[in-house]
Amino acid sequence: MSAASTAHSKIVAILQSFTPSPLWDAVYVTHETANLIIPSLSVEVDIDTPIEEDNAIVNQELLDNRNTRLSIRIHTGYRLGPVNTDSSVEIADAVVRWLRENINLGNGFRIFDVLGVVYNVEHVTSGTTGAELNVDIHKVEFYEQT
Amino acid sequence: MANKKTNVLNALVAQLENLSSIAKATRILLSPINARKWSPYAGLIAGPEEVIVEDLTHIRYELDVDVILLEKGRDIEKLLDKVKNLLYSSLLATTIGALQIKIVGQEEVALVDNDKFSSTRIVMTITYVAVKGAF
Repeated sequence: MSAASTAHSKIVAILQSFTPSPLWDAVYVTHETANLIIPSLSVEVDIDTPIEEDNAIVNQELLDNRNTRLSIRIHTGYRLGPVNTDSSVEIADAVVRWLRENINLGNGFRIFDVLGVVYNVEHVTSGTTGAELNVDIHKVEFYEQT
Repeated sequence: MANKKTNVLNALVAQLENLSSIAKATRILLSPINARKWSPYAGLIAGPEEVIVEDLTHIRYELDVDVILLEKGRDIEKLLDKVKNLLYSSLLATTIGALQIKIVGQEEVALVDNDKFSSTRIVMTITYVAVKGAF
């Protein structure tokens, strides 16, 4: 299992452990969910946005394996329907707060940034409205001396 | 077994017929001559389904539906209010097995004499989910 899919599973499992919560009813492992109920969350690996590091010389393969950007979407309304901004803001803030307070995900996975929070978005691929945020996850490498 | 579109529209017709102010509601719009025999009357015109999201197991559709109302004279305004109250009811979508009903437009009513028929149209979009492979 790659670092990206492990990080994805960890975040989904954490969010599902809060479900049912007073704020959302379901957590999905992909944005494109047809029978999506609202309010809910979906988590997907963001493969379109590579994460860059400041190092001059990096092994790109190793970098891709270590760093993962996940896109978390908050769904509070269907396309054409009423936009529930209050609920979007409340859920997004709760998720951001939790992610920033719990950076250690175990097994060497650490959250090193929660960014790109947008409170009022129309999600085209999922046909819903709500909020969106990104979370960068770093896999800490341990080297053994031989 | 009927498909989801038919089920949703039949349920909507049943809800319209439950209104005490509607004498008859039909899934397929009657011709004006036939509709006048059943005044006050409500008929549906459904457009094609549009796929919004599709995954391995389910498909979410949007369906454009027009409700045509026919009634004598100025009473059509009262009928229009009652039908709009029903459509705006938050429970209606769940009752007919849909996720959401959105009224997107309404034709202006041309007022006529009490012994003449008048008609109007409410345009709406219904969102619903169907299981793949179920017909």
